[in-house]
Amino acid sequence: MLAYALRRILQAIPIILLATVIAFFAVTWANGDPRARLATCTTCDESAYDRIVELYELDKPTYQRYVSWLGDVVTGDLGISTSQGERPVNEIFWERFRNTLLLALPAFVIVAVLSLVLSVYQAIKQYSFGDYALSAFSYFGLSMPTFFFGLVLQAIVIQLNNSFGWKFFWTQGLHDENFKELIASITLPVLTLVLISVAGETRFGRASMLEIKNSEYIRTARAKGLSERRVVFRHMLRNALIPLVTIWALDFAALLSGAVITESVFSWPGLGRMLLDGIFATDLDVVMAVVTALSIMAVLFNLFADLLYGVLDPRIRLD
Amino acid sequence: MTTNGNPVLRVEDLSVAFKTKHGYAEAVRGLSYDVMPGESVAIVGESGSGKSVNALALLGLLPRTARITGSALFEGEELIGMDPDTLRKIRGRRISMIFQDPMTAFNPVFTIGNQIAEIITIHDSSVSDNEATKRATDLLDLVGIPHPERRVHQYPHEYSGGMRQRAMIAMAIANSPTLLIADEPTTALDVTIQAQVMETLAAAQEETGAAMVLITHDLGLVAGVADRVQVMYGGRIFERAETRELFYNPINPYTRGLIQSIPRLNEERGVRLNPIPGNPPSIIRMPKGCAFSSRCEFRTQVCMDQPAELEPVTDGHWSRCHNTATLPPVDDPRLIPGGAGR
Repeated sequence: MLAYALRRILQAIPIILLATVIAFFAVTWANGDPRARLATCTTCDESAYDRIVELYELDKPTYQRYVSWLGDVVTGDLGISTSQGERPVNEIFWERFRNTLLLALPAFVIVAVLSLVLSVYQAIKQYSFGDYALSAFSYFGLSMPTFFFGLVLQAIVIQLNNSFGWKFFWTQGLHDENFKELIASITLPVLTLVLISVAGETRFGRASMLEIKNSEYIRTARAKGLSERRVVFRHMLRNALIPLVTIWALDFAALLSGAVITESVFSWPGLGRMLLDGIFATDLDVVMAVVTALSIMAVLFNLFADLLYGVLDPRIRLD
Repeated sequence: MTTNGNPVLRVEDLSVAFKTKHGYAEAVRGLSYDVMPGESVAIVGESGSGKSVNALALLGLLPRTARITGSALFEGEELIGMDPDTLRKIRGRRISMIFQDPMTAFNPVFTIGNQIAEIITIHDSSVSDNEATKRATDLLDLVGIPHPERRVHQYPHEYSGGMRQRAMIAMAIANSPTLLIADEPTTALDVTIQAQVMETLAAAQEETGAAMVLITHDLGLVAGVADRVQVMYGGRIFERAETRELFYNPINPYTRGLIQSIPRLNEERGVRLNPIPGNPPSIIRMPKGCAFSSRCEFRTQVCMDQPAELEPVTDGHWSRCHNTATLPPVDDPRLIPGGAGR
């Protein structure tokens, strides 16, 4: 399995490189000339112009600039942000990554536990009132656009805060002075992320649990005289986990690379916002840092999902 | 086999119906039979004749939407309507079931040994996991799995179909049950493997002294194994006799049709197979007369108007037919299978 993992990581290198090439050229060409930013600047002089040319190496062709960017990244230098006072991107990245983790980790744990519990419950109590109610909830979550649900949550909480003088939850930004404030500021964005993910995963989990519930080996398990609890928690659950694990891993990768919409709605200083701000400010190194991180995470968690697959399902041999 | 002693299983007037949009569909209708200790009884019939549903009903493995009436006494205890926990303790310990498709009947994520050990430890908590695995190894050896000490740690997908069915038999006899129910145990297997698996099954039955209910659509399979045969059609028994008697002297027109439709190796080339025309009746719209009447070459008006009763014809030989007395004698040599087996 170690050899398999190593081979997969080696195979991932060209994929990541390709992703960065596409991103680099797309950003360079789509966003136009970074010098255009100076057109509206009244206090800037010739030296500001030269500085931009120097920073972006604009006197060189795009492919040379890519190669020199790549050389820097390999040595651990993500470059500097031109839109944030020439701050090193390394510094910005880790700060933003930590903030994204503050949302991604709790959201992921809640999503995983909830989607598993709900899909088992729904499959076992198929066609019960609870099953229908949860299905309705899932469709609600699936059909609700992220930004709209986030805004609705904000509106409700602002209304509550204003009417009752409560200050339970923050609706904007990250407040990490103390633990209580932190919880107060992550609650709404986490809730938004959870609703969106849990809805889809529960539909999926329910379907796979139902298939297992009606399978021959579950009938065998009953015929052996196992208790219903043992049938569900030993024979069904282990099989139901196999497809769910893949979705979880991919979902976690998506959460880690920053939820662009959710972070925007809640003004959350995470990777998603960093990417969006970088694009608007034509801040090439910032955009490239996030895109690179995103592709590495996608590849790594895909690999992680495949490895877990091999652990859970003996029919899959990784070699 | 004579009927002395108490039967292991006495099924009386068992009916199973499923709720459908068009009312209840009766899959089993007033079924009665006995199984004596150590005896093998075959239940033969086409798909939809109710033979499997009858077995699942005894073990409480049917969905809750099934309506089950009648009685099934197992070693004197009533199975129908039994408290689920009590029934659960009988399943896998005193009555074991072998299912049709060994490819899907094992859980793919646990080893074969693990799944056999489970049926032992679940019914006897004093057995340690190690002892149970040891016994699983012995059982695999008993059913003829080579290298059992290695095979016991393998997963179902590492077994061939025939080996899986042997492992299934090993699992079924793990707790020395008094009754084995084998539901189409060889249907999913290659013809060349079928005979081996049937031998294994017979050996396993001998080893444990269990009685067996063999459910199958394959009359050829029955000939070598069963002491008695009951032929089911449309949820009812149409004929019941000792195996030899049934093959040499089939009375019921349906059984005659079944035996005639068995292909034979010694048949002249170019001779057409002899199927029963038509299809089995739908259990949702059963004819008001005899269920077989629409396909029967001997039918008379009474067959269309009222159902026939299962009646004794000779000692131990029963048939459900209005016209038993007027049917032509069995003189067609095609009805005599060479050695009643293959």
